[in-house]
Amino acid sequence: MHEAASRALFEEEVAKFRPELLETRGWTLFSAQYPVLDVGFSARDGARLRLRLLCDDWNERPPSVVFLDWEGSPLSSIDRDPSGVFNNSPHPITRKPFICMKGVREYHTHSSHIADSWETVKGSDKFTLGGILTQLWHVWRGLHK
Amino acid sequence: MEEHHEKFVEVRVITTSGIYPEVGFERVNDHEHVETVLKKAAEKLHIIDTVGWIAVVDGRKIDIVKSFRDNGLSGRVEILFEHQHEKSAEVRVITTSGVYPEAGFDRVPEHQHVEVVLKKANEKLHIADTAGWIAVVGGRKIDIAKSYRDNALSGRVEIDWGPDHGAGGYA
Repeated sequence: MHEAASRALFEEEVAKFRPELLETRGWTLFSAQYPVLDVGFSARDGARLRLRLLCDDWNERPPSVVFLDWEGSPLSSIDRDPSGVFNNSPHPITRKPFICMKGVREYHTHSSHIADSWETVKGSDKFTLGGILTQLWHVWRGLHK
Repeated sequence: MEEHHEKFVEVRVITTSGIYPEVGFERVNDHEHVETVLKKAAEKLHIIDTVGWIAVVDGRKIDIVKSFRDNGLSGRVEILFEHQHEKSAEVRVITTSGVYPEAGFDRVPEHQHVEVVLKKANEKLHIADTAGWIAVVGGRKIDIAKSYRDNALSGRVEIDWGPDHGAGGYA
C-alpha cells in the first residue's frame, strides 16, 4: 500500500478517538503520529498497560504490537489472560511476548496461524485500529476490573 | 398565476414499540399534519391506544394537529412519540468511530430498547457490521435487546459500544 494512503487511513481512523472515548475507557493517547499508535490503558484497581502499535503499511498489513510499561520501556513478560490473547512465550520472529489474536501482525505471522489470513477480516468494523484496540482493551479489562 | 413550491420533510417516528419507517425516513409534504404520520406509525407498529401520548422533537413538544411547517419543522425530523408520563433517560453512545449524538445527549424513554439508539449511532457513525459487539455502561455489560429500565439504567447513560474481547489463538 502506498505510504500516503496508509497514512491517510491511519489519521482518519485515529481522528475519531474523541476525548469522551478516552475518558470513559481510561485510555491515554501517548502518540498518534503515523505510523505509531501508542495507547495506555488504566484500570480502577490502579493497573496500567501501554501498547505500541506499529501501523506501517496499514491496512494492507495488521499492526505489530509491543507491550510497554507506563514509561515506555518494553516489557519482558506480561500477565496472561484466560483466553490466551496475551502470550508470554517468545514469538518465533520477534522472540518477545506477543498478542495472539486476529488483527495483530504477530498472530498472522506466527507459524500456528499462517493459514488464518488477515485478508479475511481486513476492513471490517471489528478490525479497524479502534476495533482492534477495543478488543484488546476488553481482554485486559477482564484482568483488571 | 401564483407559483407553487412544494416543500418536503424527511420524517422518522421513534417509539418504545419500534421505529417507523423501519429503515430510513419517510418523505412527506411539510403541509401535512403531524398526526397523519403518527397514525401510520401507530398502525404499522401495532400501537392501539395513543391517548395521552405526546410528540417531541429535539426536546420540544410539538402540536400534532398542526402541520410540520406550522410546527417550524424542516429537513430531517425525528419524532419521539411516547406516553406523557414516560420517564426519560439521556443517552450518549461512545465508540472508536465517534460519539453519538455529536454533542450532548439523546433523550429517550426508559422503556425503549437500548438497541434503538445503537442503530441510530451505527447509521450516523457509518458502522456497518456490529456482529460480536457489546454495550458496556459503567463497566457492566448490558442487554441491548432490553430497555433502559430493565437494564436498571436511568438519568444520564453513556454506552460504550464496540467489539468484545478477541479470541486467543493458543499458539
